Amino acid sequence: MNVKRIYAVLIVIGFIMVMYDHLSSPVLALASPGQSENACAPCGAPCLDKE
Amino acid sequence: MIRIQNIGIFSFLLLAGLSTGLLAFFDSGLKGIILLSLGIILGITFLFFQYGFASGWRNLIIDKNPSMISYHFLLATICSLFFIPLIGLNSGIIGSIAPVNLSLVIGAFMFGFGMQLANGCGSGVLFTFGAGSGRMIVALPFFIIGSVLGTYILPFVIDFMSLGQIVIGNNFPLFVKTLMNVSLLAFMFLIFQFFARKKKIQLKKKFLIGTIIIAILCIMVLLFSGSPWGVTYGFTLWGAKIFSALGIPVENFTFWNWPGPKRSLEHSVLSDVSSMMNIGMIIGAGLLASITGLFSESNWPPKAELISAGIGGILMGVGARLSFGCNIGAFLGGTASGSLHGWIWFVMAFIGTYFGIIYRNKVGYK
Repeated sequence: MNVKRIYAVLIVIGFIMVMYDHLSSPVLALASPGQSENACAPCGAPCLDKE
Repeated sequence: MIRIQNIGIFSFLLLAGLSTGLLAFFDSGLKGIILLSLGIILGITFLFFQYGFASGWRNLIIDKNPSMISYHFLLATICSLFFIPLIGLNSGIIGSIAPVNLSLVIGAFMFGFGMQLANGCGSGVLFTFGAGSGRMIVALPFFIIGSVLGTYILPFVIDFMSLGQIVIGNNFPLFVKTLMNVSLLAFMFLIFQFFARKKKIQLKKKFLIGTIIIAILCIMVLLFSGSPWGVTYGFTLWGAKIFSALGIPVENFTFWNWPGPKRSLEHSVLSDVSSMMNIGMIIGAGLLASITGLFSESNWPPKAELISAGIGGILMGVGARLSFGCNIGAFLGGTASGSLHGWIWFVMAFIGTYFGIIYRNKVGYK
């Protein structure tokens, strides 16, 4: 199958999924998980010594 | 005059960009628009300059050409010059600082190995997927699946053999701490440049300009988002949301009950910085590819390479979660923030790359 066609389908599906998720979920101001309290890694994992 | 080669894809991506931008503006004001725009510009920049990590590391091992890797250290040097003072002086800005533990060592090795199988790192997968690469159409979904698997594993291993966060020069005044980290990174740049010159390889203006533009964009991301640019967390969140929609209870995983991840799982994908920027990067790369006609050149790689791309995607996904990021979030963000984990990530991912190249030779990559 043509790469371009599959790409186009994936992009459309991805966009629909983003819009669906956005419209069906509560919204907060932009943030990263590492900015949460007690986070000790960029992914938001808590620190051993801070637990 | 610019002639758009793929008007259909271009129009759709433009529409997607505008709609996302509008929603970002309604929810996060100017910050949303700025971060989405920075993602779009990063996508365009990476594709335009063909700024690769995976190929640069491979060049050093196969051709003994350290040129590209020297630019990576120059990028980290410029970033650290701004990152460390900004993090030190502004309580609203955090660095990419993670624990030094066994999962970091194993995860970075897995990432480096997977990166060679998939032929791209986190940012590489993203911008080449955006530009319609057949290989990345396979690698990206597996990267996403792998990163969710990583969220299951990480809480069990994160405390194993952990030394906690280690920041280089943390006990020194901010100026000295900055100087120490900048000097270390600049030393690596100069060492690689020295060997490049010995091989009569000169600094390329194209990559120098690309490095400076990417550094400026990274500093802007830090200023506007409050944390260094990261790619892989966005993939993890997308995967968790898809798994959850399919009835797989990811919300019961310990990882998704930590405050940061829990917040992002329970809220819109557009409330997460990494996701917003990843969407921007795909749109940016896609827009440039549709203008330049890159889509017409996209073909499927041989079957063995396609299967390897899937395996590489899984390894990178799991590895990124275990080692707290990819070349961008862990290596660039980590070293530029003064975190020791960024350096260990580099060493282990480089060893992984070495074995990845052996695998490539066995499979017969073209």
